Amino acid sequence: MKPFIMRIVAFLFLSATVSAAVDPNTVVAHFGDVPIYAEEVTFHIRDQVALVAVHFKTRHQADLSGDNWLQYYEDEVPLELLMERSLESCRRSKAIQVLALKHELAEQLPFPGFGNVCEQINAARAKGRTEGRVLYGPLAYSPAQLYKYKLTNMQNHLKTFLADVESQGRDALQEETIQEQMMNMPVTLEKQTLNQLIAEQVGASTSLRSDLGEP
Amino acid sequence: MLKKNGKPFIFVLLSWLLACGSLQAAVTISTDNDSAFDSLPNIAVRVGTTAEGGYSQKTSLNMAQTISPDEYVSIDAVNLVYSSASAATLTLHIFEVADPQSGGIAVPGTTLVTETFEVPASGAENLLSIALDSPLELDAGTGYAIYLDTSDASASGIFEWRRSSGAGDFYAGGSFYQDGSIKMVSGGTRDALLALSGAIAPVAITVGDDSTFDTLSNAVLRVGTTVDGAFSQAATSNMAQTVSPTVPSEVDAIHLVYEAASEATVTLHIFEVADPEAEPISIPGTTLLSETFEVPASSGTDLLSIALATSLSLNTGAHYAVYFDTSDLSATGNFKWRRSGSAVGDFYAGGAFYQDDVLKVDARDALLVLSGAEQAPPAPPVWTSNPLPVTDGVVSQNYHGDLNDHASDPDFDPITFTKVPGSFSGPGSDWLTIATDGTLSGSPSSSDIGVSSWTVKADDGVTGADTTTLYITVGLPTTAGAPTNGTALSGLASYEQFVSDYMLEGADADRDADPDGDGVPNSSEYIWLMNPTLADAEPVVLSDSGHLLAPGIPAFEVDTESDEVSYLTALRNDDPYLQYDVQFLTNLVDGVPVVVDSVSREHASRNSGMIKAVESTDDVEHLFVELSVTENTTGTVYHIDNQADFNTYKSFTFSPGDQILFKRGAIFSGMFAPQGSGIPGRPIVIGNYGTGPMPIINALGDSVSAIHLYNVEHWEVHNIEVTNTDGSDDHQGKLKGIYIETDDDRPEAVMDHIYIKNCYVHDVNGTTLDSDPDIAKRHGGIHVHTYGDRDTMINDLQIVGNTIEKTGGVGLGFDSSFVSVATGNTNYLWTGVYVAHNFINDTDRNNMIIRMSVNALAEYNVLANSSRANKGHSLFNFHTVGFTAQHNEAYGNVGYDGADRGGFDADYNARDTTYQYNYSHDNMWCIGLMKRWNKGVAVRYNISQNDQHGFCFFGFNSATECEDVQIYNNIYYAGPHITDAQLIAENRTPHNTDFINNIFYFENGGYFGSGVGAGVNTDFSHNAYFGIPAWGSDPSPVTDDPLLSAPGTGAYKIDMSDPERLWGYCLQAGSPCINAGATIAGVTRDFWGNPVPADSGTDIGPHEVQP
Repeated sequence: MKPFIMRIVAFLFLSATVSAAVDPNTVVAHFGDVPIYAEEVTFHIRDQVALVAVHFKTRHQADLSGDNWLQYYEDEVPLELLMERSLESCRRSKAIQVLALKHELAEQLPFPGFGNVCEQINAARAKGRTEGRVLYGPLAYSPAQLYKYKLTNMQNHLKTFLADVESQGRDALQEETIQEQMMNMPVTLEKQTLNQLIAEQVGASTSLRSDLGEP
Repeated sequence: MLKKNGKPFIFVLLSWLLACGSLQAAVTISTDNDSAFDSLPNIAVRVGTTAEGGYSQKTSLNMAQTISPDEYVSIDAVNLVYSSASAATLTLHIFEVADPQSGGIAVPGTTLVTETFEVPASGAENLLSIALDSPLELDAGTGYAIYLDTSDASASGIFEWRRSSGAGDFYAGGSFYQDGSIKMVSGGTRDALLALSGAIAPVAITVGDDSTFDTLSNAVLRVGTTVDGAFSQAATSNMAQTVSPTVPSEVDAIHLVYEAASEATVTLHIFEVADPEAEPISIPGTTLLSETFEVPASSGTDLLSIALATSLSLNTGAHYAVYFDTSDLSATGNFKWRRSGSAVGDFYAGGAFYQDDVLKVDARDALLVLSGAEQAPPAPPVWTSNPLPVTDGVVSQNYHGDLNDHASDPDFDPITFTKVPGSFSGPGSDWLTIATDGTLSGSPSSSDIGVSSWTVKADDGVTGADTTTLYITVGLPTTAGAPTNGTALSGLASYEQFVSDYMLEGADADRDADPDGDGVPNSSEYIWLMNPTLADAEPVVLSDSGHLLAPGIPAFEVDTESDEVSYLTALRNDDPYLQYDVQFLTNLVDGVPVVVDSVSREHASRNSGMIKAVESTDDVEHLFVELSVTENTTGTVYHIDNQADFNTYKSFTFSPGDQILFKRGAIFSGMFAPQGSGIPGRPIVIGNYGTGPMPIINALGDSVSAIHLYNVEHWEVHNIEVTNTDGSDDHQGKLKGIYIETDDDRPEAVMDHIYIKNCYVHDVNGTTLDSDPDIAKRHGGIHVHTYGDRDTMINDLQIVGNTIEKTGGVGLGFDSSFVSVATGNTNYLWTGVYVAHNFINDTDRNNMIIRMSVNALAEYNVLANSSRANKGHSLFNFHTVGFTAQHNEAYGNVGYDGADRGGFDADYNARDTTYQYNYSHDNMWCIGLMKRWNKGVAVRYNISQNDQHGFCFFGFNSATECEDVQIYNNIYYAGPHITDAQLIAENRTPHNTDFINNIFYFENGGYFGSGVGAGVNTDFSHNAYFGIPAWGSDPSPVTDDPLLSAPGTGAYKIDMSDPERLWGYCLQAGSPCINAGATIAGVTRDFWGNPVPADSGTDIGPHEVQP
């Protein structure tokens, strides 16, 4: 039996239509009652594209480009796997954010508008530099770098909060808590939009096969 | 003291009470889009500059932001960003507070401003501007609250005040309050977005009791000490007192005894005079200060104090006039300046008192006190860094440098530079000359290849001298030597330089011109190293095509025995943009030359020597060699669009200037291992084109790397994403993402110019648990190695702006088999190594290892979650000389083994290592210090926050080859959740180590570590201890609360995107750490970039409080 997320994907491809590029501030899913914006999911898609391509190259000798992402390779479709991994990765990140927020370890990441915030931060840092102030870290962050920077700090603070640092089990304890939180965040999707977003990221057509994703 | 319009406070209060007598608000409300907040004009006090923070809680909570201006300001409007669903009624209170960061706040009975008004509903997020009906003056250093009482807001009138993005972002003087308590947001505080419009007041006037004149504090210049003298003449006489400082001073206020029957307008001028007793005296066109202000009427005789907004520097040896222009006085506005009752010169002989621009006839000095601070005493010169960042030397080339670029004298005395006799150390002889004016010169030879060092002294001839070590690395030139039968121009040549050298002007400078009329155009004269202004004895023969022909040109020699042609012996080979196309022809077919071979080379240095021309030519005397030389500055652009293109070019030999552009959005499999090298000024560049995400190269875990630059130089890689994994979590071999490698197959000793920038390197290998360094520490994300038996080095290596994560092994690492600093084999240390702005996260071993280099610099890197599979410090250096790591952040290095998990590590086999201005948090340790061969380590001005085990970890505990370790002006902070933190790791023994000026701050107690007492030649001095007893032998400990601004506020809130996020470790006024530290030579700035020292002494910890 395919996991839940894959069944969702199967439905997605049936209903996708051609439209303009997805606005990064568009809600593409909910994890529980937490809205997920295209901009945040895109960070995870970008991290997974290469690994999905590796999977299909090593297992099926497939070179993925364009609509190859929509083809079946035996029982697998690259875009399905990309969506599954991206959403799972994103849900994990969001679970960390929710837990960090719950324990007042961090502020909520500013979605929608993360990219704008990044621009403002970079502008402030550039101004600081011209004024001779001391800056730390890269002089300008890419949105993906800033997202990872904030997320890794959140996760570390969560670790410290959850467990004694001496314990080898601190990662395990954290993982258990994150998994529990993820279970409390069922996935609902804005199907057409999410489908289009992922297709855009790999240069695939959004005019889709009707049988894609069928078990 | 707070005043309005320069009037005493009582008048201000009265006027406000009168204004409040009606319901008509004495303020004017206007709104605008909140995007205008950042660009509001005339802002005297600003809290926050972006509108990105959250809002304060909704409903009718009262809110306040406290401030403490650092200058006198006069404000006329209060601006804030708000949101309100409907109109709301608010009351604004402004009042003084004793402590702008105290835990609670309440509206006092008497305020400076109390106004009730209605705020309109906001469209979305609006800027609210509240204009005051009359200006309000705020004193520097006094706390004030801007308080909004929202208790009258209707249920629907929800009013929200927006907060700034981070605490202390732009204003560290106060706090944001909600319902009387400091607002805490997810573990930290926030400032409100607040801007007070107005202006910085040039002067502030206060009036006091004249009997205090004799006891005024901080008087740096005093004229007279009694108040029994007569007054100057009444009415409108201008008056002046001249002074001649005996010590250099910073004056911030002027005090005099005066009498005025009514309010008077006067203008104060301060200016320099040549002779303090010459007359007449008059106001020059340019003054140091000219300000007009109102002086209130006196109550009989009063003390008038004029505080300056900006202090004035007065120097010894100069003379100044303090001059009051009273020409604006009304008939009733008499203003009198009291003279001293003592004889002239009793207290001050340097000047005189003037009235109406001439010396007062009954010569007396005026009563005058200039208060402020004496400037720091004369100080010796200081070096700006150690070691000095000078340029490298090149064999057989003149060396140029200037030590004045690296030293300064606080008193601006001229500096004399000398080389300390006998201090030279290096592989060859002492080739460098240091002139007393700081000029460096000399010409190193091949025996000097490597690193030479000298101790150099900077002496101002007055207050003493300071020494530092000068390292110069000598390498081989990157191009071949000068041609044998021509005169090479200095350095790399260009046609423009040729024109300049021969003073060709106008049309004579054209490439086709032939100013000497010998039939050879300038372009050929240039190529053949001829003189374009002197006709050649034997004109060069040109072919029909204009190419130079070999016959008759001595540069070509045909060896009839071997059928080989020697060429290019007389051609310019110092212009990297010249491309040589050589054709070998015979005339055996119907008298028409036939091409039998051709060679194209892009740089003469590649072509010198013998070329096999025609292997089976029977009649070699008929061989022609035709040469054309063209300038090639662009190279070829190769587009890699798909896997077929990738396969075609993955091992192709590229030429200088070529660009290999991968299509964005495309994915490629395999290893890209191109060949060929660029040349100086024309690197070969790997990049991308088109739109969409970065192109990806997946090496699939079965190649050494995704990009492999092997025995090549002058290459750059930009904006490429790479992986090297089969997708499993298994260890898959000695894999890298991007690999730069050179070995014995490479003929040149120097590998020049390798840049890796803005690449995304991730998922390299699976999990690498192996502790074998060859497997675990020499593979991973981006690695650069010089291996083999023949000495090789790398010059000009930049790894900048990359993201590296999820790698087996080390994120970023260097290695060489040609260097051993400990044994003195330093000739092939890499030079020009710069590693910056990289984000490295989640690596099985270290995030970064810098090896085998001299004066390498690693800065602005983020090092996160290092050593996930095995221990190791996040960043360490090894076999280096003069390595510096600064402005880096390291966090998350924790795991099953507490040892060797510091943010940073001065590892062994190293000399003159500096870790400064770094931030380590949430690691096991802040800094590792290895006790094997390790000489000269400075760990200074770093901040360590919540590094779980403690501050220092000394490695190789039984070793003793650790010398000259200086650990100073750092702070180690352990928050309340950390128990049993150790200053130095348990059972580890420091060696030849000094701990000076550090702050050790344990919220929940801690201890030194049992090995500290056995430390060898280990001293503690001038450290501050909080939550831990002072070390017994520390002769100057500080044990009171160091009064940090907000220690630990960053514990869960650190945001490196916030330029001032670590303000909580700044010292508050009154801290016992201020000026309590030892002065350490060579320190110029603190963690935040402030000058050190700022005043008479050095502060303890990473913050130097500025006056």
